[in-house]
Amino acid sequence: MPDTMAFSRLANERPVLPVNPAQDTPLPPLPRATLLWSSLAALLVAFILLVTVVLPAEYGLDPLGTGKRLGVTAISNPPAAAPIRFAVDETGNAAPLREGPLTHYQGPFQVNSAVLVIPPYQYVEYKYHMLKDASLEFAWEADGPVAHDNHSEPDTYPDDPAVSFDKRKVQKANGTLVAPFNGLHGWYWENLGGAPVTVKVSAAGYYDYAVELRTNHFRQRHDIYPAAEMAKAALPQPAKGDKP
Amino acid sequence: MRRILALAALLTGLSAPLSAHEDYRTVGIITHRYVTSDKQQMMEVTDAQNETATLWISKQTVVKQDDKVLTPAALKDGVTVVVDSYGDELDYSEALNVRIVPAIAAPK
Repeated sequence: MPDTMAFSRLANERPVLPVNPAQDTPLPPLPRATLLWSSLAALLVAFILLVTVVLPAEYGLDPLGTGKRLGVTAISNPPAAAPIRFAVDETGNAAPLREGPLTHYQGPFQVNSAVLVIPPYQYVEYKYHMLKDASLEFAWEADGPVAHDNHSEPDTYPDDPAVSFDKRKVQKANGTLVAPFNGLHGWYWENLGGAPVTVKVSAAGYYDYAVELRTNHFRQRHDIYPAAEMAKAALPQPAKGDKP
Repeated sequence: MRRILALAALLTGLSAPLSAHEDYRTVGIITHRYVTSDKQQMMEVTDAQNETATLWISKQTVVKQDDKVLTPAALKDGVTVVVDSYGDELDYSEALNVRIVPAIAAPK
């Protein structure tokens, strides 16, 4: 019996939920005329919004001129972006254009790498021709002791002097170089030992060509391929009979 | 007088390209050391490609080995040297810096 008493007490203590009379009472049906007029009013408002806002904003159709007044026609007809105007110097080169943190280049993005073997006690220079403010991401590594000089040589050299940036005795380096002027920018490596040293250099950025200079005025220009062409060449070519 | 001066200026201008001096580097073994009839000290250096350059040892020439300065008498036949010279062309250019280095191993 004690169990039954406890159950009945619990049953009596159940909370009483509020009753919504509106849920219990069904709504009376709207008169047909009211329904018709409400629908017509909604359609009219929708049509007015369509003509005054939606059509001017989405499709540039503005029969009443409301889109222009509300300033929404610009959404469908955004002003054309002004083309980048590069300043061209007397040699016909378009200098990079700085806009805040961005720098625009007219030339293509280039990638290049070279393997340079330096005979004992000889030297080699490897440089890229860049315009002022153009940038270069680089990495190089030597497999033996070298003296190195990261430097730039202006197009007006020797009337204007070359400038050195880094002469530390290191066997590898990587970083970014921003050209301080139009000219050749790169490295001098001298083999300090009696065995040949191999230097591997890679650079990506905005330059016209690369040039290799060696002991006793040997000079060789290296072909450069735009990054886009290299990426295209690296893509797997469809086999004969494959549907595109 | 004006004509003579103009001619002199012209000749000077024409001779400028002939005297365009350059820096050269030669790495190799001294194969011949000799003194010319006008008492100029000379040396012939043969490089790894078996090409020989004749270089002039002048009073300006600095000879070093392991950063120690030596006299030109250290430049003997059979010594391996790194020579930085200056002149119109490599042959008979003036040796400015000569480094005596260990013998270079033959390429494998």
